[in-house]
Amino acid sequence: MTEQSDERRGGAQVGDAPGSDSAGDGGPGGGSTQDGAPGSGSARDGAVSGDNATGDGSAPDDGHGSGSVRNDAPGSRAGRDDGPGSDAGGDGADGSDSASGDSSPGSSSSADMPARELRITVARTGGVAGLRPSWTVTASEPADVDSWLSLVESCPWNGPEPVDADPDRFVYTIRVLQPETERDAQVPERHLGPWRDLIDRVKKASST
Amino acid sequence: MSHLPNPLASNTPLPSTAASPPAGAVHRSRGAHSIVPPYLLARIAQADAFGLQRAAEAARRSLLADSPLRDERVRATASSPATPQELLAAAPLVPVVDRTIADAGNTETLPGRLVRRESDAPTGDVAVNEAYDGLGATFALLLDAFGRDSVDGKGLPLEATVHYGDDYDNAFWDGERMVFGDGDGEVFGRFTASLSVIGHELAHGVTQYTAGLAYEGQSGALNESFSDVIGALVEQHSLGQRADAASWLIGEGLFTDAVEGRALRSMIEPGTAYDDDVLGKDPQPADMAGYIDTADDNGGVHLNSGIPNRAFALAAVELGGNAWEGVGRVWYDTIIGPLSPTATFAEFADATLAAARVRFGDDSAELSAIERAWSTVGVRSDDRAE
Repeated sequence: MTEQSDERRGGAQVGDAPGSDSAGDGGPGGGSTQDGAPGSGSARDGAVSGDNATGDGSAPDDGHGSGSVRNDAPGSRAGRDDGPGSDAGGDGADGSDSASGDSSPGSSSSADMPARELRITVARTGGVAGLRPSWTVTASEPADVDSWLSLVESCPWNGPEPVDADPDRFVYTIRVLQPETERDAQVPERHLGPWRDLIDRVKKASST
Repeated sequence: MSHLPNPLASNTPLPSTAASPPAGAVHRSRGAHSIVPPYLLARIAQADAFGLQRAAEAARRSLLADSPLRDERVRATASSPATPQELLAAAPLVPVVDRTIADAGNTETLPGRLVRRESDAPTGDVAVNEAYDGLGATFALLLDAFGRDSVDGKGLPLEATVHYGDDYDNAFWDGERMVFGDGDGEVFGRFTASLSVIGHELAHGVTQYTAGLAYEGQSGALNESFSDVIGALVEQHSLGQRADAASWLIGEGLFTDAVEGRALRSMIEPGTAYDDDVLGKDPQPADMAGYIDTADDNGGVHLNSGIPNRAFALAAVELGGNAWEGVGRVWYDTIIGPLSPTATFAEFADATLAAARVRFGDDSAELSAIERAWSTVGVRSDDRAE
């Protein structure tokens, strides 16, 4: 199986920010920036396979849910880009970046990002199957960034830490990366309520 | 949807649970089981028509010999002053499965619309029928192999909801009922399709009512593993399959044809259930050398469960015969305790050895097979023994 699921769990996409019904979002550099944005390859490669591989599991925790420390992830691509906004288009046009990127969604740091870029990754663990799919969207168009941000801000990032794990139920890890900030949350399926809209939209945008 | 009473009960000509018992008498308000006098056992023994093959077999056996459960109940009843109703109630008891299936209509609202009750004829919905039959097969294993009356040991009615959510890729036990998604159609089909998964989920209920293994780290992996054990045993028991003929696969038939894989997990060969370009390779370790430290998945509960899974399967295959009678019985004895809710693999291994000694003796083949299996997977219980 390849195309269907690749598409379904695919990597970064643009132009599907919440409230935006433009599929193409023809903003300057829009599409190419997305494709080449650090982590877009990881979203694709790591959708399920990379993170589900034994190697990933046995490696030290890559920081999921560990709080908002920037630029500390293993395999950080810091240094590849000269700075916010630089070479975004060119980087994006170079498909090899995706292939050579690491396969962990948490591997790229927010410091690598263009000034207005926003990346949201949703990873799901648990479930009777024990698989670990993830979905990522990246936005750089101001309107898209603002639109996603308002959705992000509507979530209870400082809510209480949920306790009791439910057997075989899903747990979602949500990570929002911006140039200066990183936010992480782990949300059990049972408490999905206020997060559902964000998660559903990321999934949908990631698969279109 | 009619709400027909259980025909086995409705045809009872004498007072049973239907009568109002005095305080202290046996009373089952939810119809979890019936108090069945001997003349009704014959009816239950013919209940195969309702898909209750194993329950019917159990009833047939009860006609021939007292089961431990029956002794227990007769003793319990005999220990207090008897009223006339209690004397009636003192008739031998045979646990009877009580299933209810609901349809969530692809929403996430539970329980959903009731679509099939106990003894109703099959519906036109395969998911409903698979759930119904799977609950029955699990009930039958627990009763037949372990003398356990349903998930809680007290005749808990078994309830399930099918068609949960939209393209929902999971099945789970929510503490009260089983819930099945239809799958997304790309990676997964409907989750009722695997009997081992139904048994797996209901076994989470058994663990909840017994050892209460914390769903985190090694105790969480043991919780997962015990569910896989019961899932595999339910399949083998329903097929009348010996350990050496079993697939030891969990979740066979859930993947669509597009996936390169046989099942979700292999108990006998962890790490080999699938190898797919999108899903990746089955990540389960087969021994302690491959133990995975991770914060995800509650500390890798679905990953490291491969280690105790393999110990179980290795011992069962070495012993041959029906796994639910040998190693399965030991694992069940272990889970009903005494066992710490935060047990480690080594502590659990010790507990299985203690249970094997009690059940089968110090010189038993069961004990030595289980010892060897734990050693093979790198869980050396003797590390702890002083």
